[in-house]
Amino acid sequence: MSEKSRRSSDAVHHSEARDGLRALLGRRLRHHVLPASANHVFSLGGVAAFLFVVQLVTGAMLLLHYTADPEQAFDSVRRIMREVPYGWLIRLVHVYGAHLMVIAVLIHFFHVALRGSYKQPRELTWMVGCLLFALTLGAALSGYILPWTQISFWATTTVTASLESVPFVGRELMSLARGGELVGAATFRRAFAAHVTLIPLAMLVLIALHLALIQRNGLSAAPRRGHTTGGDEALVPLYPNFVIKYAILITSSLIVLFMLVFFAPGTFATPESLVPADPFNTPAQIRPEWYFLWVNELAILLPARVAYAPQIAVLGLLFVLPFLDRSAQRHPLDRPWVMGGLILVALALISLTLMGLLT
Amino acid sequence: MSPDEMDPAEQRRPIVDRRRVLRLIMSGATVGTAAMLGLPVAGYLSALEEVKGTREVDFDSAELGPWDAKLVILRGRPVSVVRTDDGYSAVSAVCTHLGCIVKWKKGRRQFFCPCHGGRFDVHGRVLGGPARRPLDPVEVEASAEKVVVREV
Repeated sequence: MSEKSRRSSDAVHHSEARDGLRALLGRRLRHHVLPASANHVFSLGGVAAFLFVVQLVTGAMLLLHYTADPEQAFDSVRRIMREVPYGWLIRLVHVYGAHLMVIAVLIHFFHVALRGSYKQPRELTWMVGCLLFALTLGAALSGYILPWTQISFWATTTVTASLESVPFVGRELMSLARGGELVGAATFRRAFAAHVTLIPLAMLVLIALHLALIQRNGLSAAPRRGHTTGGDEALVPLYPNFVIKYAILITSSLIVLFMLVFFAPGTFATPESLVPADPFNTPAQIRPEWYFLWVNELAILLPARVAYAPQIAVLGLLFVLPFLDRSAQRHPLDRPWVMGGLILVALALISLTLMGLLT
Repeated sequence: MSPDEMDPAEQRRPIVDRRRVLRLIMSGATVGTAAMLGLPVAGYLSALEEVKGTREVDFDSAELGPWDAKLVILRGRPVSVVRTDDGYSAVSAVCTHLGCIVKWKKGRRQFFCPCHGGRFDVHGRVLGGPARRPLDPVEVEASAEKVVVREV
């Protein structure tokens, strides 16, 4: 053994004697087992977590050049895009990372619901996952306020205005969300605080809890028709079997991300996202981002007082789904009512989104 | 259970023992501390920015032709003033649905909300769309030279 490799081997032993990290990782990766049927779709939760880390890193980098003031925010974003070396790359990775994270979380959510993996003993894992889903959308909403473009301003106006329809405390809630009666600098500051600290901190805690619960309860085995458990399914170690699946899906998502960044950077851009906010001029045919189009369509179809009632009701029902669907059956065909409900929700989301895109 | 039926060891235990008293004191201290910290935090979070701006705006009546509209700002809020056949109409330009700014369509003599398609007549009454309340009226006074708009 050469002198250099002997010294690095000594260094590894030296640190291992103090932190035991290699032994810990070895136990976690090699001894942790999963059902053999766990396929690539299972990795989507991990992809969402990876994209969250991408958002944290690119977000922190953007903070170095971004000015958190409504008078200067738009210009600072323009400066990042045009003058800061590779600023366009960091910003577009952050923007498209957010879109992909929403997609990964959505698919992961429906996949878990389809497999009935919210049932005992994973009820808490499901509920924490629902909170993470809500926080992901909250991060997306607060994030696109920060460039302070027309879409930022008017999305904030309509979303906060809808709070007024909450009985008894609506007006106070709206003022609290806006930081005043009108959308303005106070609203901007609250969105900034939420996006940069409150939501990421909450997500970090909940992701840790989510992973700890998954570690404790394990991944659910494939549901079998007429059976309450997955049965005697072969188990495989996390490393290398599942780690390879994670790596494949993470690599695929990075390929999609960079293809969007380099070849189609205007995919999700709307004209209103390129114009600074004007509080006295709502652009014609303004639309939110695609993942809120369904919300916007419901706001068009329903009076303000109940515009957000259907989504709150549906999200509430999904949150308590493990306590509504108490049967031990997990196969989709053994849960016709839940499957019917989920399919309806998915169809409603898709139809409302398409309506928003096409009309 | 009467005192005679109680175990002698149980009879010697005081009704209010030290552990219970300490527990009560700790709980009280925790609640008190939470309230002491919570009240300033609640006050801090609920501090709201006041709306500033003028409560009265005037402009030259020659600026508006028949059925033309002008947007003025009263205390930070847009107000639309329209010259009609028999005078002037002033209404808040904030849509009562979800707060977008309505636009005046001179050809149709209607206000139209670009967000969700609400429509209002020149006096702010709802003609269609998801809005349920009319546009808020605003006081307007006109003379030969000047039009004055003021907050109600």
